[in-house]
Parts: sequence; C-alpha cells; structure tokens
Amino acid sequence: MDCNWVESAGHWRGFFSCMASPCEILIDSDDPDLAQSLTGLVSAEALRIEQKYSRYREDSETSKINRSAGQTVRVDAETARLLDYADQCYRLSGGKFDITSGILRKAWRFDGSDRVPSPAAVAALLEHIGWSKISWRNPLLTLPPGMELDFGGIGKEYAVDRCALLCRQATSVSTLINFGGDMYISSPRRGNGEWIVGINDPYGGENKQAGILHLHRGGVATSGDARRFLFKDGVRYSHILDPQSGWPVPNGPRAVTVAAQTCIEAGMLATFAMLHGTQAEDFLKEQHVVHRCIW
Amino acid sequence: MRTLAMIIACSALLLSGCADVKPWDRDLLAQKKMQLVPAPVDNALDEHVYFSKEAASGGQGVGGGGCGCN
Amino acid sequence: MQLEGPSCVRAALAAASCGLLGIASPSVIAGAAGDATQADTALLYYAEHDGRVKVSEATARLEQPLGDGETVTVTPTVDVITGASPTGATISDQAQTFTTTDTTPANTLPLKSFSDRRYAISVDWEQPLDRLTRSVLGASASTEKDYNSLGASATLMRDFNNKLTTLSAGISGSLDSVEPAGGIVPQGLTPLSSAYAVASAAPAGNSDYEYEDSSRPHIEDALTTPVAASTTLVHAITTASGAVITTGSGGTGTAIVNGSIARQTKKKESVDGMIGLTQVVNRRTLMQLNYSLGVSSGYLTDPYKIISMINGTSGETVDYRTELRPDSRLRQSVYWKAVYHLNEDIIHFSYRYFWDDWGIRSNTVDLHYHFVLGDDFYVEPQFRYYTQSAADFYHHSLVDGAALPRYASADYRLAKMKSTSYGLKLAAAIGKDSEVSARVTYMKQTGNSHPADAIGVQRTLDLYPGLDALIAQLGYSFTF
Repeated sequence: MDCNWVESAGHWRGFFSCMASPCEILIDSDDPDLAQSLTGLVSAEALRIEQKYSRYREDSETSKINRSAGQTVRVDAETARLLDYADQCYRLSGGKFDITSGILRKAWRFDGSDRVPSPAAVAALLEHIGWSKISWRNPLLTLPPGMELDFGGIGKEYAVDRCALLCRQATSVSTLINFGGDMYISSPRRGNGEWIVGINDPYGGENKQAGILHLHRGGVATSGDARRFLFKDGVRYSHILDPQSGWPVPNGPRAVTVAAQTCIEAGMLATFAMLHGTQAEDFLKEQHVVHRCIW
Repeated sequence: MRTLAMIIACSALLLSGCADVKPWDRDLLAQKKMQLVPAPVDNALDEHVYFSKEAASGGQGVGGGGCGCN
Repeated sequence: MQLEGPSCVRAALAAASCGLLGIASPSVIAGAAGDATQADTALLYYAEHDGRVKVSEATARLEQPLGDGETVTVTPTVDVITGASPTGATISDQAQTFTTTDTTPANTLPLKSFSDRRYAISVDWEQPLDRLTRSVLGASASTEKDYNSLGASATLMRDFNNKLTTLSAGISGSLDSVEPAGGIVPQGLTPLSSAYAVASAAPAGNSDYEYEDSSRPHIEDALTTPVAASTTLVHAITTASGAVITTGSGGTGTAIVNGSIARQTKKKESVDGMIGLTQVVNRRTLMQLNYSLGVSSGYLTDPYKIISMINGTSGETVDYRTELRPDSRLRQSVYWKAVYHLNEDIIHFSYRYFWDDWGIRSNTVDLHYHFVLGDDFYVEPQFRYYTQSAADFYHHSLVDGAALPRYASADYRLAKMKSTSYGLKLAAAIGKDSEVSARVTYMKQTGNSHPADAIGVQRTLDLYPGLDALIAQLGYSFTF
C-alpha cells in the first residue's frame, strides 16, 4: 500500500486509498514524524478492516460467511460485535436497516442509467433477504443457503472510529480522520480551534460547498446518492433500498450529513434519516442532532 | 580498552541489524507500553530497593536522588 | 418505523456504537484537552524476613504538559523505614553485647534497630530545543534523620535518521551529607571503645563540626544520668557504672555533656555522566545501549557498621572495630535494553554489566513479559537475576592481632552474592486514561555462608545469612 503525507496550512495530512475512497488523516502538529507514524497506524488499520470484511476478497470473513451454504460458522469477537450492532440497528429501524439486503445489488446497478430492474427479478431476491431469517447466537452464525451478509453499510464508519481509537492511544494531538466523507475529529485544534469541514453540494460537483461545519470533536457521516442513482421516466431512484420491498425509498433527500459523538453513530443516523424518505428532516430534528439535508 | 571495544561492537551490532523501517511501520512503536520505561514509578521504586541492597546501581540514566539507605 | 420515543433512537444508537467499538463511552476516543496532568501514584510495602528492614513508601509522579512540547514532572516521595539491619558483626556461638541495652544471643545475627522517615522530591523540566533536539534539566532533594542529599542533572537528546535513532548525553552531580544518629562520626577501623572519642571543644574553623545548643543529650543509645563535663565524649557503649563493654576487656568512660554538643557531619560528592543510543531496529523492536561513568568522593563509609575481630586460632569473637571504606569510588556500567512486540504481548529485557575500582563486578538480567488479556487487563510476570563479586576490602571478619588492612567492611551488600527476584504485576484499565495495578515481588539474596577462610568455630556458623524480602505495591494512574 502506498502512503504519502504532505504539509499544508499548519497541519500535516496523510493520505491513501482504501475502501474505494480517498482516505486522509489531518494531524494538528508540526511534527512530521508523528504524521508519518499516525498515517501508518491509520492506513494499516483501514486496510486490515477492508481485507477482513470486503465482499470482494475470497479470504475475508464476509466471504467465508457467505460461502457457508447453510453451515454454522463460528465468528471472532470483532465480527460478533459487528453482528450484534447490525442486529440492534435492525430492531431500532423496524427492519429497514438490514445487512442481508446486499444481494439486491444483483438486480440494482446504480450507474446513472435508466436500467431499472423488473419486479420479478426483485421479488426473487426478496426470498433471500431478512435478518430475522438467520440464526445468530454469539459466536455461532447460521445463514440459510442463498443468503449473504454485506457490511458495506457500516464498514467505513467503523474503520474511522477504530482508527480514531488507535490514534487516541498513541497521541493526544488533535486529528481529523476522513474516509471519503465519513470522518472523526478527536479534539479541538491547538489554541482551542476548530476543524472547518465543508459539505459537498451534490448538484454542484466536487468542489462546490453546500454548507460548512465548524467542529471541535466528534463524528460526521454523509449518506447520499450524489454519485449513485438511476434516472428513468422522470423519476430519480436513490440507492437507498428498502429491504422489505426491494425498491428504493421514494422521495428521500439527495444527501444527509449528520454530526454525532462517533462516526458510527453519525453514519447510522444518516442512514436512518434516508430510510425515512420524506420524513428525513423531521426524524433528524427529533433526534436533536446537528444535521444538514439536501433535497 | 576491552570495555571500549565491547561498547563499539555493541553499537555497531545495534545499527547494522536495523531494518529500513517505513513510516507506516511505526504503528506498534507508537503504543505507550512499547516505551523503554512504560511504568516510570515501578522502575523508580525498584531502582531504590536494589540501590539499597546491592553494590551496583544506575545504568539507565542520570539524576534521581540519594539516600542513606542501610 | 417503530419508534419508542423521539430521542430513544439516538441514545440507543449511541450506546450500540460504543458497544461495537468496545468502549464505555464516546469520550474514550475523544482527545484530551491537551493540558491534562498525568498522575501515577503508588504505595509500596517492603518487608525482610526475621524482623529486619520494613519500609512503607508512598510516591506520586505528576507530569504536566506546558504546551509546545514542554513538560514539567514532579515526584514527591515519603518513606517510613523501621526494623533492623545487620551491623556487620558476624554471628558468634556466644552471646554478644554491644551496649547496655543492645545484646545479641548466641547463634543470632547481630542487628541494629532504627526508625527513620525520608522525604524526597525531584523535579524534571523537559523542553524541545528544536525539532530534533530536547533537553531535560532536573533537581532533587531528600532528607532523613541522618542523611541529606541535593542533586542536579542535565540531559540532552538528539534524533537522527528520521527519528529512528536517538543519541543522548547526560550529566548529574550530587552533594550528600551524613550526620549519624548519636552525633558522632566514628574513626574508621578503630576499636569501638575509642572509635567515638572526640574533643568536646572542636578546633575552630573545622567544618565537620556543627554546634547546637540543647538541654538534652542527643546520643540515642540508652544512658543513665549524665555526669559532669569532661574533656572526652565517648559514644554510649557504657554501662550505668561507666564501664565500657567489649568482649574480654574493661575500662572506664564518661557520658555526655549537657550543653553544647558537637554534631558531626561528613560530606560526600558524586558526579555521573552517561551517553546512550536508542534505536528502532524494526517494526517490532526498540533497543537502547548506555554507557555510564560516575565518581564519588568524600565520606563513603557507613558510620553504623562494624566488623568482628576474631581469634586467629579458635575463631571466637574478641573485639569489634568500625568499618572503613576508601574515600573515592569510580563506577562504570554498560546497560542494554530491548523491547520486542509479539502479536499482542510485549517483552522487556535488559542486561547491565557494572564494574568499579572497589573490585566489584556485577551482572544484572531483567525480564518482563507483558501479557495482554483483552482490552482492559494485562498481567506481567517479572524476573530479575543479579550477581556481584566482593569488594576488594570486604571481609566477613578480621583476625585480631594480624596486620590491619587499609580498608575493611563486613557490610553484606559488598560481599560476593546473588539475588533473584520473582514478581507479578496485574493491571486493569478503568475508563479513559486510568489504570489500577497491584504488584508483588519476592527477592532472595544468597552469599557464601561457609567461606574457605573461616577459622575454628566460624566453620560451624553461617557467615552470610542472606536476605528474603517481600515487596507489595499498589498503583493508581489517572489524568486530571
């Protein structure tokens, strides 16, 4: 893996690619050696999580589980925690957040085209979706044949918070870890300063900002369809799919950004908001979180 | 003379055996428990006991206090 | 969506997120304000077998960042030391009497009791001089009834090679003063009956003497009523009638003088220097190599220790003399430390070779294995092995009537000996940045109980009874 780091505007920035996203760590320090070691720390952990849970790697935990063909699999402590978390989110969302819904990608390809799948194709997949159909009792997991798990909905935010935890153990310097828009800030910058984070405008392209957040600490996550959508017959289909119907949640916001105490919490709140569709803004207001919805 | 030779030999050994440690390989070393003295209070208490009960002392650094330990 | 209540989702998600990360609350990953004080506190209890030395110690190490990499560290310590330690006189098959109240039964190691309190404090100030260099300046002071110490140190550290290598150089000096309980520093290698003789009117300008007005005697051994002033002060190896007790001889002596009493102090100076190299060897390994050189001069003798004079044929103890050590000492050591990270556990290993111009050569091996037990616990078995050769002037006893050596000491800590320590430390993390720990160590010192030069009855006696000690420590570290 190739790591680089450059100095910019009073802080060091380490960057690398992981989880199909540009990843960076901003370090509020003049010390290039600290920047090097933290960049190394973070890139190693991000790579570890990607390799362990990537659907695309044959040797990952996820692939091992998805290949199990109905056999019971014993998972390790970290995977158990992820499964417990997915289970809690399933229940808190009334079944709308479901990590078994990944196989819907076989029908839905959000490439900006107008190729919307047939209802029959989607219905066929629904038989193999449903967290309540699997058996999970720590540490034993049994997936009925044909079902798959996909940690894509929590993997990146989990990696951000894990990296933040490791950085925190190594230093008390303020850091901002940003994996493709999911980020965590450990503490105020020197002089009790803030990190200023821009929120991208999904309509305006990469460099247009729709809002600015001033943050002292905490996690920020964005859920949005700026790049992944289908457009057919005047209807925009976002990539947030309802696992119970197999179809996109209609008329939801284009993008939701949430700030919370950790990146995982922010990410799941943003996902829940998107799943609320038209009620996204109301949901977020009720939760009393700092947020920005773009419609 | 012999001791000087030993010190030079040890230093040479130390430096020659070193791998090229890339920046992203400094993750383990960043941990507090990897420091040379991870528990300074334990270390100081031990040094005090052994200084009081043995003829040899020091080696790790300079400073610290004296005592009329008997 | 089924919602139990408005903010319930957020609270539940917050809790679930912490569960996923394995932390108690989000503040665990949030950074500290940056100016938090790190406090490491410990209580220690040290106890030797057979009613010997017991020490209770409380210490705290407070580290305060001052910004820009500058740090100040303050370490106060209080010790309460009680019990008794060997005087240097050997075991005899007869009862031994040292003073009216101080007698030792047959076949028992002669000990001297004491009780003392020591207060010490040290301050270190670290500051970066530039991106690659930093310096540490330190000062320390300690005081106890019979000993005071003042010290200062300076260390410079410079990083090379992308901070993979660090060179350090340090120097320190200390000034100690010994003021023995009893107020008198005895003459060395002198029979006890005359070792403590000192003029009541000290020569003017002699800085070894300090005068202090007092209406009570300072000498601590038991005495009866003081008698009229005399020209000689004798240490209280006197009976009620004034006879001096030494085995096989008699004499007269006088007791203390009321009024001005000379309290004698002796000074000792040390200067130490060190150069060191710290090197990151590979991703898992860190090493350090140090060379140290130290010089001490002044009063290096132990004013309380004596040495038995034995009959050259029978081996019976016939007299005692005070000990005497050289007035200078040149010490050197080479110290090597390695830290190695396994998959989760860490090994700390060190070796030190020490040698000085008193003839002492010693080897020390120290090994700690840091066993990680989950995110919050660790257990650390510890092992230490130490050997030393005897000082040139160490003698377990001297033959009465033979030519006296220039220096002699029977202090068991200068003898040829081996010491092994086994320890275990258990620690648990509490919340963010806090740790509670407990440590127990068993230390055993052994030496030559039956040296080849034992004479007569000495052959049946244990001339180096050794030492067993148990050390218990409780620690609590936190930030505030």
